[in-house]
Amino acid sequence: MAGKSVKSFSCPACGGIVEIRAAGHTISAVCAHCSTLIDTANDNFKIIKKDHEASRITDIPIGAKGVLDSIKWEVIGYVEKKDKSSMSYWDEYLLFNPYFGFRFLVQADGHWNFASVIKRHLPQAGVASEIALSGESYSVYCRGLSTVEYVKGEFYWRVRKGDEDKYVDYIAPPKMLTVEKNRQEVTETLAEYIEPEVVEKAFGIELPTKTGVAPNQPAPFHDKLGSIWKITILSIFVGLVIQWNMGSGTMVNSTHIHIAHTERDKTFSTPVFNLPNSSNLFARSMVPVSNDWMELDLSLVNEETNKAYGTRQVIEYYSGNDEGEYWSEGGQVEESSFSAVPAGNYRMLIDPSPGKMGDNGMDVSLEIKRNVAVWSNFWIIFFFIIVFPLYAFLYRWYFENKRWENSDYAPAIYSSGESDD
Amino acid sequence: MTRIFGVYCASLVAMLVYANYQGYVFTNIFESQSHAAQSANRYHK
Repeated sequence: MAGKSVKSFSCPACGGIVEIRAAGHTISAVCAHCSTLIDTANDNFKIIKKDHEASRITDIPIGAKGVLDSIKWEVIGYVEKKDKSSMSYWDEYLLFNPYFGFRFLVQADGHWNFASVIKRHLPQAGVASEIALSGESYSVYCRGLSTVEYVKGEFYWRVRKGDEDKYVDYIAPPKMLTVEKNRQEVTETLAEYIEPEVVEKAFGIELPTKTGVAPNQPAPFHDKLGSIWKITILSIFVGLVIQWNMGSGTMVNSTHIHIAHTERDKTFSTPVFNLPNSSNLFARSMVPVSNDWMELDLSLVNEETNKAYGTRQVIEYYSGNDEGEYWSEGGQVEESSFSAVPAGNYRMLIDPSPGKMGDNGMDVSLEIKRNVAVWSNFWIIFFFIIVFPLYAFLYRWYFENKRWENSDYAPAIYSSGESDD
Repeated sequence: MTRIFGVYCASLVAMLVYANYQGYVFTNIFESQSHAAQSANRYHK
């Protein structure tokens, strides 16, 4: 590797040793001892700006080496910038590889971007609200004026504290296009979001925890939401087809009994009926009660095993006239279900407990059906299918809201939840 | 993740098919509908 191009000289201000790692490329360097900015374009090493500021400790030290995108990079420069209006700060690390040139690592609120300057003419860059680049559409996220707050290391351009650039950020997560303009030039930088863990691993360092949502941070499920919804719709459709094919069931017994006034404690029975296979069973009772009630204890008894399945139905119906207004409550029909009743011969025992019941007794009609389509089964399955896509959708929406809350150019759908204060 | 979700959904649909085939009613799962055999004896002829 041609990495032995490190060159050193004495700082013309303090005499400390200044190392140049990208010799031949670097045109300005900052003394690590006194922070004096030195012209390194030739061997005169003139002072551009004298300073006495002590060197700061940065998250990634100058000279640190790390592998990103399978390429070994060395950190040679560091710039701290701030936005003049929002007073938000970010760090830019200049990376160098003698074969691949320069890249940047940009950090803001613990979020990181790996960036490179692009040499493509984008005529609308900085003006338009949307920019197309390599088949992707970038939306404007913010415009501002940045100022250099602190400089350390060496650079292939002249940079000094106080330098100002107008900038516009466009985003197409996980990418961000930044257009910077000053009196001399226009620079377009394309950045891609990388997780802090990747930077930590690359440079063997520990970084502060990230906070908030970065402008170009990939949204959760950003590339999977479409597939998730396709699977969801397909599953629900298949479930619906299955449910429709169940039909409305097969009648296995229809019994009509009359409970005489003297038979209040009698147990009635339906004829024996057969279930050819395991199935559900629905018992529907109709009792013409009026301002009265009837309780029916139903026991489904297997003729061979004597095993019984029980349920209780309470049928009550009340109606009347209050100040000319008719009212009613309850009903005269009740339905109960038996789950997964094994094949066999069965009879239904009916143990009525009537309310007032007049002298004429009471009629009870009982219909028993098997293999009835149980829509509650479908809706329970539907719930378990829909819960995750719904969560993913809502979380994604919340995330996008967070992303755009710091932007003046939020799409209308994300700009309605702004704080009032 | 998409694959896991696909398997999850397929399992749920398979569960619906099985429940319909066997006659399960999910809402009855927490109800005990089976008595002891003796309780039916008093009715049985």
